[in-house]
Amino acid sequence: MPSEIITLQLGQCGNQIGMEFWKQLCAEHGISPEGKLEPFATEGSDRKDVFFYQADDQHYIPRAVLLDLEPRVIDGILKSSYKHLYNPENVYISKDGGGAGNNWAQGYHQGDKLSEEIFDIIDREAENGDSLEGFVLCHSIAGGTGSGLGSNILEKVNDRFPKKLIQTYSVFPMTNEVADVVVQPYNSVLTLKRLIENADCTVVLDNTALNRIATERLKKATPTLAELNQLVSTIMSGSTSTLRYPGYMNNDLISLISSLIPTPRLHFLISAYTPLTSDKTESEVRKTTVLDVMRRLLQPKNAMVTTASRDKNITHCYVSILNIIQGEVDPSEVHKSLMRIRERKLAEFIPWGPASIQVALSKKSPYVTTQHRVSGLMLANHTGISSLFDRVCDHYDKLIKREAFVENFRRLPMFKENLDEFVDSREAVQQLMDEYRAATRKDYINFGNPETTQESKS
Amino acid sequence: MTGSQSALIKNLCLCYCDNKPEILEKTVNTVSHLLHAEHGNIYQDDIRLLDKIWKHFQKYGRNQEMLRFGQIYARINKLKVLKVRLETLQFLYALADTASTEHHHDSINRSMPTSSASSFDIPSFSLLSVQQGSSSTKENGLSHNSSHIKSSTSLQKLLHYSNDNETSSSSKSHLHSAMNKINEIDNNTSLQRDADESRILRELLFGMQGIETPRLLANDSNIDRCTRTLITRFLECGWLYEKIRKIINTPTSSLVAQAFIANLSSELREYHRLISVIEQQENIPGMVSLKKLHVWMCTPIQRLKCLAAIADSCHGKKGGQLLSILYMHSQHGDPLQQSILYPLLYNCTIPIRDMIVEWICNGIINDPYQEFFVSTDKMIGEEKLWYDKYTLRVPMVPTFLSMEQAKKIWITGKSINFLRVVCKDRTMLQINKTPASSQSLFQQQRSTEFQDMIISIYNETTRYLRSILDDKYQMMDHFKAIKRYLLLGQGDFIKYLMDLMENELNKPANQVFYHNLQSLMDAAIRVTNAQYESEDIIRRLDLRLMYVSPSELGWDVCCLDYKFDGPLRTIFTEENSLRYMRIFNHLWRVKRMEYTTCGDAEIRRFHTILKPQLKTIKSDLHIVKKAFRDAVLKFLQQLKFHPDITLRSLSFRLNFNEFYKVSYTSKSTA
Repeated sequence: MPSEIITLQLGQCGNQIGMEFWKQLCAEHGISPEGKLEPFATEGSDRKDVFFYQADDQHYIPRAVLLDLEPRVIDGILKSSYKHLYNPENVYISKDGGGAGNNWAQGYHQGDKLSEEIFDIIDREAENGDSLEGFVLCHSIAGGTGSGLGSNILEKVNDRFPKKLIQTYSVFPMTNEVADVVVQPYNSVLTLKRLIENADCTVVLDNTALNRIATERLKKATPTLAELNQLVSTIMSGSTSTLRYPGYMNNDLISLISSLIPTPRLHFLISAYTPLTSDKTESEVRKTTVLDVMRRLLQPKNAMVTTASRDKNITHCYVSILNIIQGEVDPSEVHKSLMRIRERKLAEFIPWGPASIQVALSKKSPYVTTQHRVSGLMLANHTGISSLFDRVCDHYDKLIKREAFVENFRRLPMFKENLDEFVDSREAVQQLMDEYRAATRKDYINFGNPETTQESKS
Repeated sequence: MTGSQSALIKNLCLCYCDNKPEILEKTVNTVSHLLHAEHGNIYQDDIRLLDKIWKHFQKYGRNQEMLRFGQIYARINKLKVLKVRLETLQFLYALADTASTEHHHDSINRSMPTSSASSFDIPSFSLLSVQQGSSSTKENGLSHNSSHIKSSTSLQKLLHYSNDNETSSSSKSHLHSAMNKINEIDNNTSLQRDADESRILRELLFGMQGIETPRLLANDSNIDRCTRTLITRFLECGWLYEKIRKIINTPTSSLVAQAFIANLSSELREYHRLISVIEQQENIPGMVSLKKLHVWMCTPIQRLKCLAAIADSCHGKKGGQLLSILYMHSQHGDPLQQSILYPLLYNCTIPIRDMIVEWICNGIINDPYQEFFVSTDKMIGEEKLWYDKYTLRVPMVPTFLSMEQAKKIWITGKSINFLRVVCKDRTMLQINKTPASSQSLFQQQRSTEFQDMIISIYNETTRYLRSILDDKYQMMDHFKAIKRYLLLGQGDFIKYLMDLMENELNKPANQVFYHNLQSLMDAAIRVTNAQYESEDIIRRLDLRLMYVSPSELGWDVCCLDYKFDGPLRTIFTEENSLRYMRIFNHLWRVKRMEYTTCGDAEIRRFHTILKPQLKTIKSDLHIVKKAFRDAVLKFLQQLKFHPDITLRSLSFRLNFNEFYKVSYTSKSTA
């Protein structure tokens, strides 16, 4: 019954954040790294079966599929204390082990070749559950495996399970400095097209913003990858907490997504979390009231995406907001806070729809202790995200003008004849950006309608 | 006037005046003047004399007396005994004339009581002549004989008839006093002033006890004005006494009124005692005089007045009402009234105090006359014990108790009964059971004793009741269960239940059957986290199909229900359960709407997939898209509404401590 969700972890980045995610889930549900239920854990308050299933010996196995084209990261996982947690059958590493070489086309091509084996695993997992609700995909859009293989699998999963939801946690590359992968703008744009067309919901995790948060909020000079991944895992566990601790609202993925996404293409969500603490830092204990938490969530500096509030004379605004508040909360306080935010107009909303800040109250895991009374996660649909795509496109445009590094792509079947796919993808992203910008206007409701498209674009 | 005549008069006067020369002289003067005047004015017939008399009345403006005189004259006319009517009238007129010229005529009489006989020989003579029927010779009149008395009494009688309402001295009363003087002469008793007063006093003592004394009529004309006023005051006392006595003698059916009456009687006993003391004193000559008595009686009269007023206003009242009236009277600045009312209140509060103590300690209403402010309806069974069995009789709450206290008292006893009857709990609460004194009830500003007692017992009892409900009947768990199931808090269960029931509930309502749904619900319980609930809660979880009206679907009629029994049934009455179900139904519909719109999300997915391939029919899709968007917007609105309900219902439930208070107050106000 319990709307199961299968997690697909792809590539280096995907596997790393996935691993942190499972660590967090295990801690929250009182499951030991071996998958055994800790003696202090009691039944009845949580639903472990959304993300786990039980083996014959009653130990919990995550509904996770680990995929990579190179063994390094997965080997690392299998050497960690969590090696017995995963179902070994669900771990798949490409036999040649060469990786995708940061080439989207390579990853995509590999996906075609390996699809049978991969989908053996995915199908088996899918059949395992009574009522599979959807997939969660963890990947980055810059590298080769996560983006290329990810795109491929995204398309295929969408084909095979048309009625299942696909939510992705997509890590966007750093854009403010020289990228460590030269072709990452290509990879990004190509992946974005698949995300636009095949995913139901994409939680955008901007590496730039993650770094910023790690340095600003956690006071780290040079944040390590593990710390960044922990941030991501916090977001992931927070956003799934209503599924795992069933309450009055948002007990399934669809209700989370559908309330946030008014129109299908505007499904790129930004997230924010407060209060942020990492294991090592003793952050000062602040007073956390619901209003404080909700107010902080609306501050751009806490958002996991760097967005511009204004660009090209457009004031960006929120399409919708979902706050997941965890901890001991007096519901009347929530109500009051909402009134306050509305009064002070702390958030700008779309002009064509109701301003909706939804609040889901979620239980806190009894096994994880925090210094904070209340913590909050915000998932928001903000039109400012187009500025992120804008940056990606900027880099892409610079490269494609010179047709730099295109040879690597031409070698693979998809681009053998022409580079149409590049053009298509770029256009898809452009359309998305236009739609986001249009969403800030009152006449958005007519957007995309052939008769009025011209006007709205102008 | 001849010398022998004057010598005779002198002699006569001398005999009346006890040989006191100074009085004698005056008397002789008066008599001779009278005699002289008689000679000067001889009226031939009645008419002229009457005319004179009328004029005399008019001169002094005594119209009433004039009328009365007319009546008397008519009677005299009819009287056959009186033969010399004209002369009599003439004499009387002459007498009145003298009186009006000599204003101190009365005072003379009073100052020389011993000489009165001599000054009254003339009328006696004329009466004598009436009696004898012979020609009027003054010499004859001087001889006394027995027939005088007879005639004089008849005259007195005559005057009595006509003078029932006579009040004060006037020309007419002069006439009466003259009659009395005749009487006194006839009796040949020299009534002394002291003797007169002691007679009045003796009469008064009876009068003050409300015993009618025909001899002490207020209009008794031989009593002067001042004395009369005094007498009236004393007689008022008797009237008040009688009034109180009557109230005391009315049978009552009220404990408080009985106490009240007992108190009144003891007051009257005091009064009796006082009278007996006065009576004793009176036997010692010179100890009691009217004036003294007046001074002595000042306070007792005030007391009697106050008592009578209270008794009057309390008459027919009972219980708290009576206490309220007493309390109202006691709020008075006069210390005397306060001192009267304090024992009254004190004694009257005792029955109510006892009832209160009995009620809050043992939950028993010991109220034979329906005067306690908590009443019970024996017809109501134990399942409605809390809400309906005991009611607060607001008019019976004494005003010195605040409504809050009354409610606390009410709830305390109710709680005890609830424990005893519904929870079958016989534990005697170990409460400090020194009942508050009765005065602490109505003197709450002075002592908190009563308030403390109420509060401590109330707290103790409600705490115990709460602990029983919590520990023995797990009330909190049931509250939480209601929140989880009826208010959809257990999200996974509700979702699964909805999934399972969808097909069944899409049918028309009359094709939905309880047993089908029941098995589905059991399945939902087995799979979801509801399975970890305690047996008891799962056993209570039930479905209920509402009354089916045409064209309704299963969705409209199916409700989750939570069964209660025992003491909990008292709290969660059928009515409350229905209320919960109504909330459930609403939430259930909202939830369903959410699900249906989420179903639209699948269309959206379909749309997303198809879009790239179907560019040709883009415009068609736009229509779909728009329609869909509308749906989404509606959905969003619905969702906006959604958390509101959540928050409200949750905030109502969540803060359980608060909720306890809420439930208790709501119970008490219900």
